[in-house]
Amino acid sequence: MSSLRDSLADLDEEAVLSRVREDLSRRRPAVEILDELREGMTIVGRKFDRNEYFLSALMMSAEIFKSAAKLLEPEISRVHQREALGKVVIGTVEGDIHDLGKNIVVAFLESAGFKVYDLGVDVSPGKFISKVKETKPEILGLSCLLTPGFESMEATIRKLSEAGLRKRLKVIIGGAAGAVVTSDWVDRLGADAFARDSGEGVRLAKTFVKALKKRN
Amino acid sequence: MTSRERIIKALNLQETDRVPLILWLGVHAASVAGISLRDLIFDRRKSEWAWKYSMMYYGGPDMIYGSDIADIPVWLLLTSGSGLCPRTLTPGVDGYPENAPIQILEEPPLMEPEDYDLIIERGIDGLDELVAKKCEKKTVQVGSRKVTMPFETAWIEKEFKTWVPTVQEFERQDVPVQGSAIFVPTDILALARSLRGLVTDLYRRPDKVKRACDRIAQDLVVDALDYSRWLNLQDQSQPRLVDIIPERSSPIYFGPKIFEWAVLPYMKQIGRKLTDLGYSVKWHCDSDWTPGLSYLLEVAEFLPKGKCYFAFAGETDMMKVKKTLGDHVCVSGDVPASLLKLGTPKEVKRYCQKLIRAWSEGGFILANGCEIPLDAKPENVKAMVDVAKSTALRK
Repeated sequence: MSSLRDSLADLDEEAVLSRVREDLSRRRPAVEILDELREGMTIVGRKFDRNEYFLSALMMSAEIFKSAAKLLEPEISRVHQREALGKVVIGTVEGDIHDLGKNIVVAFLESAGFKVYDLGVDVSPGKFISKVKETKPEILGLSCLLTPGFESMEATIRKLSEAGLRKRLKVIIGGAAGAVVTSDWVDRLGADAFARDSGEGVRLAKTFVKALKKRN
Repeated sequence: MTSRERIIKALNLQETDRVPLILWLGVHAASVAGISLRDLIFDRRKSEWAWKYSMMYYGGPDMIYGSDIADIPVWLLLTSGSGLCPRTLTPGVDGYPENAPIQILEEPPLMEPEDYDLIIERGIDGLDELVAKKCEKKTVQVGSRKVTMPFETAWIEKEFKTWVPTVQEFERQDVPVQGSAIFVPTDILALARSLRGLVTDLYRRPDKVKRACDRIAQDLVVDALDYSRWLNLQDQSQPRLVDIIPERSSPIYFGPKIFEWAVLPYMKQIGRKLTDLGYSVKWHCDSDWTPGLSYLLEVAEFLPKGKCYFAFAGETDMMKVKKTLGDHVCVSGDVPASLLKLGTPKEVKRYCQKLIRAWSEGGFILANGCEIPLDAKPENVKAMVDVAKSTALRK
């Protein structure tokens, strides 16, 4: 019988959910189950990096992870509070309702141990700013598919600076609109980095959080 | 050399005097002509003027997309499966800004997993009925099908009649017009189930998805012919083009294993049926097709030579496209929307020249990737047109 980790890595939904139920009934600590699920998601991410898996596999793994995590509630929220690697506020910028890539990144950030505040789509600069003030995250993720989204990104980042919120906050931009985004454009928008996919997004978030913690 | 000759030669990988050019002006025509996006969609007179003005401003391309002249409403009428986009954020409607981009709401899904049986039995008609039930929207008769439209449609059919002669005028000037468009079956299902819903179905109930795709594929060919006839373009000279859109079906979404049973057989089947009937096929390859180029080669080799081309949209690695497809099939593309908005004329020129150099022996059509965005810089679009029209091709 495959391990929980391998079942998730193989996208075997039925096996994952029955294994989680079984583990819970045997009183296996939720934190252990969650860790194993996270390992499974890490393998999925690696397979994506190696072109063994594609977007549908990322989406399906996110679905399975969400269903399994639901079974672990309310334990899982306590675990998250205690062990969060860092905090991320994320959303699709104002004027754009596309969220396919953003939702995949959210699932992978959560499975990597981040506490994620997903503001959804068509998020105004004001909404981003008030959530950043409220939650004090290390990372802000801005996504867009449509080209007018660049103005919304620029406005959001500018208003964050005006509100004095940029010192301890790294801004990662992402989304298909960035087909020609170069470091030049990251600078011009005032962001810190552009993530081409969910794996790069998680890696950047981890690196930035580590650097911020080291700085303190 | 006329535009038609240029396009036909490019499709047959033959030498042309210069690289052929296609511009999908779409919503960009509104900003060039200084009208609102709302007017481009709802005011037929302004829309046609904006389109003609933009053509004059940039200089005419070698082929036009039939839907360009009146943009979205006509695109909806000419695209099989468009009845599955009834929840659309439309400029100037229900408080949505009049210059904001058109966007389709796909969640919650219009179709549930249990609805697959209805599609297996009744095909796209079954889906259209589902949509009509779920959304209180107007329907419009398109060919033999009653399609649900995202906004008020009373004027569309009447206006459409005035649009057909405008399109035919281009045909008479030897500028070929691409008529109807269809999605591949998995794209139809992604519209109805949402991409997230379809992906879960591909893993949870692959048999149902397969049987639904089998049924939808039959309807799509009928629709493509039906819609083309509606345009009265069937008697025009070659190429009679149908746009097939595997927008959300590339291997980058599904991976090779799923692509091989859920997409590839239908690309071959639909492509072959249309080419057997004397049509040519444009494959509208949005998203990144780099991992699927060998499949595209397989499709090209399955179809008669010179009867299809692949249009890329700015995300696929074009140098790999050249390597895999370059000697086998015509390709168009792929000046990215983001480059047309963010870049400079110099950068656009450099990008276009690189493509033209790579295909210096022909078999290439310079085009923007997908649609030119509303906020593209006109000087960037002009740079693209200038490069195409001023660069002679040499063997």
